[in-house]
Amino acid sequence: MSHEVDREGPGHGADREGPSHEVDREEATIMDYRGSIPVWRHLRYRHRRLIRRSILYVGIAFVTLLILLPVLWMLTSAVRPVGDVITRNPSLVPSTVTVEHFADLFFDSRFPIYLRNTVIVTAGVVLLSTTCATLGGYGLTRIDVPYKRTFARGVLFTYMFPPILLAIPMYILWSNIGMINTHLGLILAITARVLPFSLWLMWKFFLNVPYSLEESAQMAGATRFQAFKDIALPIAKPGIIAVAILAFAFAWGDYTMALVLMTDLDMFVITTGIEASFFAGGQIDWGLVLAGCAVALIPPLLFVYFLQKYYVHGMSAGGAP
Amino acid sequence: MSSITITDLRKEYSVKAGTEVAVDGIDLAIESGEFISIVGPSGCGKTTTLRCIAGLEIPTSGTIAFDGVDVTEVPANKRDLAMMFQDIALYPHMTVRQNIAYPLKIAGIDKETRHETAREAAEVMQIGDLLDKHPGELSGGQQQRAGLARTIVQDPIAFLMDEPLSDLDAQLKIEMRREIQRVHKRLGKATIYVTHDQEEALTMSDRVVVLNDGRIEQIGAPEAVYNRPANAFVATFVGNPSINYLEGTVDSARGDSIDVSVHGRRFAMDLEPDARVSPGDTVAVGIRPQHVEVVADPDTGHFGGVLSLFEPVDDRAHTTVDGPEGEFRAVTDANAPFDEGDEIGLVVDEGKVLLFDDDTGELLARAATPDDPVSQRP
Repeated sequence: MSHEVDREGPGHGADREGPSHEVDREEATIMDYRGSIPVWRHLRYRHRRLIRRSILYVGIAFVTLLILLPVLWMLTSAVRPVGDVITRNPSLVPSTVTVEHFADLFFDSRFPIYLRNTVIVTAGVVLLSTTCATLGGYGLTRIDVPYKRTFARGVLFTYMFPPILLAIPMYILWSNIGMINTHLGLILAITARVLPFSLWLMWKFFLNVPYSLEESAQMAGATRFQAFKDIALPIAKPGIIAVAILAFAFAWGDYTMALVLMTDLDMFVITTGIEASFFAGGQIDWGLVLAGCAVALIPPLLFVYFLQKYYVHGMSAGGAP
Repeated sequence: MSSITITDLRKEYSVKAGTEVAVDGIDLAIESGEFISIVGPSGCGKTTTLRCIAGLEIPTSGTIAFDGVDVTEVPANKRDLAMMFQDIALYPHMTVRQNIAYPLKIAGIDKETRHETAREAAEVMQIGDLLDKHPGELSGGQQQRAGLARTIVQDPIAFLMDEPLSDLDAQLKIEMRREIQRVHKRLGKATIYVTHDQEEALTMSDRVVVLNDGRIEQIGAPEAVYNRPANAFVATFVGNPSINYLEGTVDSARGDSIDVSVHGRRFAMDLEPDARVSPGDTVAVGIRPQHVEVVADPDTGHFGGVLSLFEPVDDRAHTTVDGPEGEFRAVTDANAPFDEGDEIGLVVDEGKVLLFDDDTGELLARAATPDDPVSQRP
């Protein structure tokens, strides 16, 4: 033992000298070079964070304003008399508030028909594309199909086509099978536009659901479909909701497909309908156009607002991607 | 009351370069109530074997029968087995209660009853206060307990476990090991436990199946696998630190006593009756580190060398000795008065030496120990 103490003795001494030496040198460094440290580094972390945050929020506020100002302009203009809309001295806050445009819109125009058509088509597209994307995405992850990777990527490629390029051949095809001016025809056309990306999204989503969860359910006695329904589907819910939001956005705002495939005025949707009814002969009825737009804004807002809640909830409860 | 019989099981996977054989003709009979471990290095086919029993893989050939009824083609959900997966596989969107009750929900049992059963199972596993939490809020050990509770409520004919403890830290592992054994004793159902950890297999099982490259190397009780390995692979895989091999030549054989010379040293051993060695044979002499004594004097004992590594593990220490015969591992006391770099001697317990065929690795003979009559064991 004594031999060991002897051996350790000098070693400890050296250790004690080491750090104190270094502290001296470090202090000297700070004193010598303080002058060349940038101003930013002189600030406390708290202040640096405050400045960083402020810049960020100013930026966000600017972008938000940029997006929301036209919407705000539309909303305020929808409730003022036409005389106030077409004026040389526009003001953001209306002087007189009126609902006459909304009354005209609902009781004295074709707008309710357009709205009904849009709701039917949108509901159809949302239902059809979430169903197809979920089943298709699940199949792509879980079932061995030859060249499925190539297929999944190829499908995404079709997403790149501009809608008008698809709309014209679709018109010819649809008119041959008698699906022009039908809700189903437009639903199928828009779903065809939504599905590639949705399918790809669901494929990626199911890739993140461990297969062992479903296997475990099968060991517990569940059939393959039960395992899919009870386990994979709830975990993939955020993905399904993302697809639903995407489908809603595509269907609600669709213009090209509806313009080409719906030729009967009674089958027009809001986008084409507002144009057809209120832009008549170069005379634009701004009151009705803006009131129509304001009404058209509400359903997407509600849809996204409520689904977003489930979306976030699903993310945190699932703990999945 | 059910036995599982596996006959000539074979599973091939087609890969880019052709076919890969994961399981290559396994025969195994698992008795009712038995705890059996399948152990082997990674890629030896142990998980594939288990998945075939579970019904999650369809074997390429061979049959699996429960109580004599062929179930090879029966889907997993109809086999009435419970399985614990390596990643536990708790459903993240369900509470612990719903997780545990899920097998009962599938079985069509009403909500009240199945939640009551789930609560009982959770209490057995000491997680009764966590029923309303989601799996993401549980610690690793609690998740294991919930997973185990879920298999218990199923009341299966057998439990399958696929390396369930491999992601836990050492202390939790020992705790959960005990839990699994407690459950096994309580329910008395057959348990098939797959692991790569030989220590786990030896401590928990009634029987151990050592698998290598898709084939069974040995089936036997833990002490038989350890003391009487069928071949050099089993001897190397089972036991820690791993066994030492030295090249030796059989000098003379008189009945059951033989002399083996190893690097100029002579071992005089009494062999068990069924020895298959004759004078002049070249053999691999297997010596477990536990059967070597480290002594201070380099000239006493069978070998001498320089102590190159001294690793204390609780009250024992694993040592590595560099001698003229190469590296040699031995186990000694943690407070043994040795330092790395010391010249030391090694005394081999001649009553515990194993002799293997130099080419095939098969066990040829085992020294007979008066106090350890292994020949009478199964």
